[in-house]
Order: sequence, then C-alpha cells, then structure tokens
Amino acid sequence: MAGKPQTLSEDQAMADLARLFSRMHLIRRFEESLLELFSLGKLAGTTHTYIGQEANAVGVIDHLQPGLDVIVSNHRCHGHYLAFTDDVDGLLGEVMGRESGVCGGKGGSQHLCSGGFYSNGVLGSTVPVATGMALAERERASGAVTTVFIGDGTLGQGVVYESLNIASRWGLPLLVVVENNYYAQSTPSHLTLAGKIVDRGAAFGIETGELDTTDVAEVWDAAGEVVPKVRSSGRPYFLVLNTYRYSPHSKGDDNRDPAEIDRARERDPLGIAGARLPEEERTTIEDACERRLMEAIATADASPPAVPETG
Amino acid sequence: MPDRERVEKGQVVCLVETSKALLELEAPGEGVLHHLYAEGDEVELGGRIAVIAESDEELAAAEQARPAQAPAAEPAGPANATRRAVELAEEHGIDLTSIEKDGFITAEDVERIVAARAAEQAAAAPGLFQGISLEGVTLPAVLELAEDEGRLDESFLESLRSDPASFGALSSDEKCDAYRRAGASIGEGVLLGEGTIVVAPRIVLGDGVVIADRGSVQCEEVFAVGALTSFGVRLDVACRRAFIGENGYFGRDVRVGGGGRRDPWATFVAGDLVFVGDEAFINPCRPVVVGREVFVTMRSMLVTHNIGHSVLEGFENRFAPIVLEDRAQVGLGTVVYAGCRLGRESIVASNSYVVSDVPAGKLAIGVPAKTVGVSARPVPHARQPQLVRRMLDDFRELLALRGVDVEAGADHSFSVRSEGKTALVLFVQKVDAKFEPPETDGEVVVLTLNVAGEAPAGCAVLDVVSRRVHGSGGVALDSVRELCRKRGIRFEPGPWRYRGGLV
Amino acid sequence: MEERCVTVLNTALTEAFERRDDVYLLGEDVLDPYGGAFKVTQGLSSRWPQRVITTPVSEGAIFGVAAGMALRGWRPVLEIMFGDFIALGFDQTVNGIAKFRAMFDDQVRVPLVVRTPMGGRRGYGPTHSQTLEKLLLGVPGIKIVAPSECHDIGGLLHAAIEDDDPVFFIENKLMYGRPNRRPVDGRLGDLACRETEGPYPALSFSGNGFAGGETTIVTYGGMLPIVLEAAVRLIIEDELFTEVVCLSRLLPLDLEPVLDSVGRTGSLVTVEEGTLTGGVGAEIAARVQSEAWEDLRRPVERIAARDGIIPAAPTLEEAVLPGVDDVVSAVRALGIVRS
Repeated sequence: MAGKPQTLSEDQAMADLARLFSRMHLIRRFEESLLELFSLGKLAGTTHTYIGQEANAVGVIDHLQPGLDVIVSNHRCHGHYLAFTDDVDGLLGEVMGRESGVCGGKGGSQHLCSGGFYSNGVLGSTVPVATGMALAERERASGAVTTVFIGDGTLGQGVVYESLNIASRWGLPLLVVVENNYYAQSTPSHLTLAGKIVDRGAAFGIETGELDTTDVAEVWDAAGEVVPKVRSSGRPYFLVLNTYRYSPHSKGDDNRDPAEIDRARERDPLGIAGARLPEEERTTIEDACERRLMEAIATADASPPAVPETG
Repeated sequence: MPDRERVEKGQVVCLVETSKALLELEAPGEGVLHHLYAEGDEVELGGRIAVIAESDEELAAAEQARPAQAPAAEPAGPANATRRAVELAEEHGIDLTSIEKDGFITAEDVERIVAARAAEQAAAAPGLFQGISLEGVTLPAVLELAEDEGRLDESFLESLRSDPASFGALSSDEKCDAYRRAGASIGEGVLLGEGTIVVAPRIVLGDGVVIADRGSVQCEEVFAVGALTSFGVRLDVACRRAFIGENGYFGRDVRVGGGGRRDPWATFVAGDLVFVGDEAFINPCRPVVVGREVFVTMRSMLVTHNIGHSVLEGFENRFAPIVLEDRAQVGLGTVVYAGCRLGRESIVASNSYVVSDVPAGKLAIGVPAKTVGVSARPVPHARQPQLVRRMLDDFRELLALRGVDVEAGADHSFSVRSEGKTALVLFVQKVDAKFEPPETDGEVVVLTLNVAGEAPAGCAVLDVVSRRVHGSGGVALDSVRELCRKRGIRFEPGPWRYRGGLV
Repeated sequence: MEERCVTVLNTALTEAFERRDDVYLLGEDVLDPYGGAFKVTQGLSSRWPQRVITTPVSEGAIFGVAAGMALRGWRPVLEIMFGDFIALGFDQTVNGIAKFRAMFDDQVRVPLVVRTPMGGRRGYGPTHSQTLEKLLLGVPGIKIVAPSECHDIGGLLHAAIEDDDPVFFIENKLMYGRPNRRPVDGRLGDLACRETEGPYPALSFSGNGFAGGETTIVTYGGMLPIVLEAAVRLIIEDELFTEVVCLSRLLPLDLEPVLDSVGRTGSLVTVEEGTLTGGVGAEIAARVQSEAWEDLRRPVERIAARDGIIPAAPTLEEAVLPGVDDVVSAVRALGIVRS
C-alpha cells in the first residue's frame, strides 16, 4: 500500500473493509481462544491479549510491507504479529510451547520474531532497538519504515526519550505508535504521566499526530498519510492512538470499573466495522475464521511439545 | 618523542594523561628535544621535564642542567640470576655470566656446575665409580673397609670352591666359625641357613646378619654386608663385588647376577635400610649403585645391559650403570633399563619401564615411564599433629585387636598393661628438657614433632619429624618404634631391628 | 620499537574499517580531532564520516541502537567511555543483546562489539575506576574478551568484530599507555611463553621451560604486567617457579590452558582487578576444583580488589587494589615447609 495517500473510495470500500474486518476478527477470536485455552489448562505461562485494540494494529500495519518494513512490538504483540504475518499456526504453536512455534517455544507469548517482526517483553527496551534498526535501514537506503508499538505505561522509561532524541537528531525513519489505553497494568495513566502524551514527541522536534477512535477506517486513513511520509522524508513520526482494551492486562488481573468497560464496548471496533458489511459477508468471514482457528488449535494441540536441546 | 630528537614547532612531543582525557603537548618552537628526567622518575608539580635546545650551545647547557642522577644500585649479578644462585656462585667462585641459558639461572644450575667440577675430579681418579656421579647417594660404611679386611686364606677358599655342598650342609655356627678361622670378618649373631654358602676372596658380615636357607653367594672379589641386614631363602648372588649396608631387608628368591656378572665393572652397592622385595632381579653387568632407604620391590628388575643383535645392523647394544639415589622407590614388577638414574625420593609406579632418568622428587609411571607429578605432597604444619594423633589411634586399635590390654587415655594417648606394668604412649607436640612425663610404673613413650634443646628425662622420645630416638625404653618403646617403622618412619640412631614385643 | 597498546587498537580499528563496509563505530566524543577520551578512535571519523557516529550521553539507548543495527545486519562497534558506565546499558545487554539469538530460536544474530576500558590506579575515584566485567560473566549469550599487553591486541579486536555473536571487548586504562610487548620465538624476556590456537588465544609463561612449579597463576587484561613482575620476583628472590596463564576469552571461560598448567603444578591462584566476591576467580576456582580435583594439592586462592569502593586518594586506592606485593606474598604463603 505504499505510494500516494489513499482514502476509502466507494469502489474499494467494501473490499478493503472486508479485509480489515477479517483481520481484526481473526485477532479478536484468536485472543479470546487463548483465554479459553488458559482456563482449560492447555496453556502455561502468561499472555497479554489485544482485545479491543484491533483497529490500531490492523489500520496501521495494512500500510506496512512484509519483506521490507520492520516492526518492533511489546508484550502485547499478538495483534501486531497476526496483522503483519498472518501466522496463526506459528503464534499458536509458540504460545502453546510446541516445536512448531515460531521461536521453537523459546520466546513464548512476548518474545516473537519472524522476518522483520520482533517483540520483547521489557517495556521501553524495544525503543532503542527499533531506533537502531531504523538507522540500519537508513544506511542501507532500503526505504524501509521501522515501526515501534508502545503503550502509555512505556512512557515512564527513560530510554524512550533518549531514543526520541536520537531519532530526531539523526533523522531516522522511525514511526513510534503510542497505543494509549489509559491503563498500565493496574495503574491508570493519569496517576503516572505528567504533561500531555503528544507533547513528548513534539519536545524533540518530531512531527506528531493523535487519534481518538476505534473506527479502523479512520486509523487506516491517518496511517495512509503517516507511513508514506516517514518513508519519503526519512524523519521520525510520533503517532498517539487513544484506545481501550476489554481484556485484563494479562489474565484475571482486572480491577477496573465494569461499567467503564461496558461503555467502551459500545465502541467495539468489530461492531463498527462489521455493521458496515452485508450480514452474509460478515457471517462468511466469521465462519471461515472460526474454522481456521479450530483447525489451528487442533493441529497445535496434536503437535509435539518443544524438546530441550541436549549437551 | 625520544630524547635528542629534532622537533618542529607545533609538533606533538608529549602526551599527558589526566583524569578522563589524554592531552597533547605541542612543541613551542623548533630544535632538539632534551629530556631532563629518565623514565620512571617522579617530577614535582611545576617542574620542567624537557627543554628544546635551538642551538648546540643551548644543548650543552641543558646537559649541565640535567638533575643529578641517583647512583645506580649495585648490580647483584645478571638480571636473570636468582639471589641464591648469586650467593652460591660467589661462594664457589663461579662466573655467572659464563652460563648461557634461556630463562633463569638458579641455584640448581650453579650446583650442577659445582657437581660437574667434582665429577671431573672424581673421574680423573680410577675407582669403582668411574664416571658415575654419586650425588644423592649415601654409600654404605662397608665400602670404606681396609683392603684386606675379611680376606680368606687361599686354601680354604679353594676347598669352598671345590666342594660347596658339604660346606653348606654344616650348621650355621660351624660355618661361621670356619669362616672366622679362615680370616673372614663375621660379626656376632650371624646366621647362615641350611645349605647356604658364601664364596668370595673377602667376606665381611656385620653383627646379626641373616642369610636364610639355600642361599648361594659367589663373588670374585668381595661380599661385604653391614649389621642386621637379612636375606630371605634362596638368595642367589653372583658378581664381582657386592657392598650392602646396614639394616637392609632382602626378600626370598632375590637374584643379583645375570649376564656380565664377571665383568670388571660388575659391582652391586646398596646403602643402609634398603628394601629388596621377593624375586627382585638385579643385573650388575655394569655398576648398580643404590642409595639408602631405597625400595626395589617385588619382581622388579634393574638391568644394566640389553641383549639382541649386532650393532652393525642397527640394533642397540647398551651397557651402562644404574643409580638409584637415596629414598627412591621402584614399583612392583617395574623394569629399570641400563643407564637410568632415579633421583632422590623419586617414585616409579608399579608395572612401569624406566628408559630415562627420573628427576628427584618426581613420580613417574608407564611404559615408557613418564613423569606425571611429584612423589610427595607437602604436609602443612597445622596438619602434622592430626596425623600423629591418628597414628596413635591406629596403634591402639591394632594392639587391641592383637589381644593386648590397652586403654585409651586423654588426647589420643593410651596405656598398655604388660608384664604387670602400665606403659603410657602419648603425643606432645613439642618437648624440651623441662617436660615432665606423666606418672606410671611402666615405660613412658612420647611421640613429638619437635625436641627443643635437650630431650626430657624419664621417658623415651620419638621425634617423628627429624626421625630420632631420645632416651631409652623397653618393650613398649620397641613396639611403638616397630609400628612406626612399618609406616616408613625409620629412626636414628640405627641400625636397629625389632626383636619382639607387643606386635 | 614496540607500539603503545592504544596505537595498536587504533590501527586495528582502521584496518577493520578498510576491510569491511559494514563496520560502524558509535560512541561519545569519538569524532576527530578529539578522537575519543583515550584517543582510540583518532583519525576514523575524518576518513569515514558516515560510519563514525557521535552519540548523545545516552548509554541506555546507544546499547539498544547498536543492538538494532546488529540485528539488521551491520557490525557496530560501540565505545563506552568508562567501563563503569556499562551499568547504564544492563537492560539492553541482559534482556536484549544476550537473548535475541536464543529466544528467537537462532533466527537472528547480534554481531556487535562493545569496547570499554576498565581499571583503576589513576585516582579517578569510585565511579570511574572499577573493573566490572565480572558482572557480565553471569550473562549467558555474550562473549567477554580482554586483551593484555602481551596479546596480539589487533588480532583480538579483529576476531571480536568478525564474531557473529556479541562481544564485550574489555580494555584497560593503564594498558593504553603501555607498550604492546609480544613474545618473540616463544620467549618474553627471560620467560618462556606459549600461545594457544584460535581467535582468542591464551598466553602461558614459565621461568623453567614449563617443567611445572609451585603454582599456576591465572589472570587476564591489565593485571598481567603485575603478575609477571611478581612471578619474576619470586624466581629471583625465592627460586619459586610459577606458571602464569593469561586468558583473553573470559566468557565462555577458556579453561583448557588453566587445567593443563594445573596438571603440572597441582595448585592455582587467580588474580583479577575486580572485587573478590562473585569475581572471575570464583568461577574459575569452582570449575577447576570440579575438573581437576585429583591434580590439586591445596585449595584455590583468589587475589582480587577488596569488596568495597575504589577510593580516589592514591594511598587509599593502592590499599584496595591488588599489587605485585599481594601476589608475591600470596604465593609465598602457599609454600609449605616440608618436614
């Protein structure tokens, strides 16, 4: 999707919307299935599901090219991973500790790597690495955009600001996407963040943008302008996406007011996008997704657990 | 920039390292750089460290300005000579600079030169040990006997040679008396077993020597043995000369002989307290020189020559002496090949084949034997008392198992009841003349690590470190001394043989 | 005329830049004419302005930037001005650099080099004088290499740059100014010297042609000249011979040359400039006693800096850091009187 900025035209609208809905639905059902598998005792460890934020991953990553662009994500990475790679089997296998997992069961839910996709579990840690990757791509003159996804909680880490300083001073093609879901684990961000999020990018002379939407079309439109800009200018961009997650931080650790969560669900991105599709098309997509997931779960379940290396 | 280098203005002549940075000092002008201090000198803050002389006159003036050098310390010797080497060299008048060596010149190197000089002198004189260095070997006293000591009357010797069987059939006393009458030097309490015969122009047997049944000694020149040495049954000695020291132990079926036993160099010499195990074979075609307290254990072989094919076809013909320095040990079934020297306190493990020298203090093993480590591990001072206490416990347990009436006492000591008296055996780390032995009606035997000055009275003291016996005792002392001997602790003064007691 | 170690490093970096297009250098104050706080990078930025990058004072970030570059196929050399400052980069080191290859199941490599000088005796004070590579010893997934003034320093740096795994290249402040004394024909002065094979060789020194000795002394990096001086003094004054093993690769620990020497001497003393507890000597001691129990005739001794700060005043600093006298008296104390 590189090239001129695009908006959804009537002709393209349905096809694109269906694609975007399908991707978001896959993420939603995948994450919900994980939570189910956990409660069935089929998953070990922990995971941080992306439920409610699907519009961000899908809307932005649809403009990024696998094989060229680079993505660095955080602990809540499944949405980004599936949007970029569509690798359901690799991710499921990884989370279920199977040999077939994308990292052979070694990384687990938070530490994924496939092609140009990387994720790591220590908050903030990822931003300098992404900065270095952007530098690498600039030196290579590949035209790649390096996107790093962080949350509001990550803004507490000092290295984030060191990296913004460097990215701006050196002129690096780095897109920083802050998914502000207003909570860092159990702590509302108003308890920990001074000033405005968007001002943080501006403080280092980085161009910024802010959205307050769960409509994937709006995110897609905005990203359709930002990504090509980063690519052509080679300068960083600081994009703040205000959003909400419906699932707990990891599993079962949710002290938020249920009424607040319910209010947020009224703006469910799947609902908004799904409502625009004809009923039949939507059902077809949902059924296909369901079948795909059933198969993936059955396959992963039946495949051998990762074997420790000897010696 | 080095001293006397010509420099240009602005050229970096000096690097100054400060905290966090390295600064470059540039020459303020052109000229010849002149260092005022040498490397390693300390300069006061603000002091001038160098000048750049623009002319020859200035350079000469700068020379004068150079601060007085401290006089160089007296060189003690070449830089690679150790302090002890320097001292020894001075003592023996050896010029260290004449030693060419990669590495360090040690006292050992100097000692080697000293020994080489001594050997040169020794080699000049003819003798039994021509060309053989006797360093590290304590020779038996019997070597120093007068030339005619123990010389037999000719006709007696003839009769011995013509009819050894009948002579051998005589009783021990009869044989000893006959030898004495014929001129041999036979000490008191010598025992010659049934069928045992010694045939040599000179025979010297010290007090208490025992040669068990069916022994046969045939020497062309002399057979001399020190006091208390014993030989087991079927001794077979055939060589030109044999000199064996005091208090030695030879097992059964020991053989000294083999090819070349009549050669002019066929000499077997063994120091005091030597152990030669059953069935050992010593072939003195060339001299076999064994120091004191050497172990040549069962079935081992010392061979001073090989047999084979013609040297013209490339085969080896080797004839060379073997030397085992003091306290060396040869393992069971081990073969020592001609020309090898085992250094002081070296050990060759069992079933090995020695084809090259084994350095002093080393442990060698294998076929061919290779040095793998040291023969003894140093014992920390702090551990010595613990070892002695453990020995006492072992002694007590052994005595108890033999049915002796023993009782444990304080601090690992114990008492022994025998013949109606109570003897005490104890460990005192250090004793001197003021030490008061505990009261008892029997003997008091004290094991100690150190006797400071004179030994105390009223007890027998066994100094296990310097291996000396002080004072006197009886059965208890002898028994403890024998127990110690079995553990390789042999005390002076000797020679001494256990005549019986509690063990 | 032997070159100073800092010159050897500078030459090796220059050669690396000439030989490979993908070598970058990042660090603070590395540009010409300053050329780095210890002048190691002089001349590089003038010749390769694109590839020598001066960074803000952001150790945390630049560790990550180097990691990102390496993950995406370049070979960055990161200069950290003082070894004490690696603490600022610990998260990136422990949770990133050391782990990427393994946790991503060998899909990536991280071929970076972090160069930094450790060491005291300059009176720089507690936060500028430490020897901290021991803290990295417990981080699986990285390599630690420390050149000494007798090693082929240029060769070691080249090997580190060519290494596909992350290498921490531990330099020493005092060593910069000292000449690079390489052994010639198996000798260094009066000592015999042997060098093992491989990209990170170990050097062994002996005063008696490797015939064994009282003990093996293992050390590395800036402590080598101190240990060698002690070894020679022990020979001259006491005729006590030791074998000195100077490692270059600390992680993975190059145990073979140490075991080989201990097989001859039966004894081991470790010497390091870092503090005692949890130091390099502790790891070496644990492994040697496990693998060479039969060879050892006494426990392993460790010589290190006292656990505590490195004070600034020279007299105080001297008392904390291990010196020639410490090594000499420790070896003498090993010697046991034989009865």
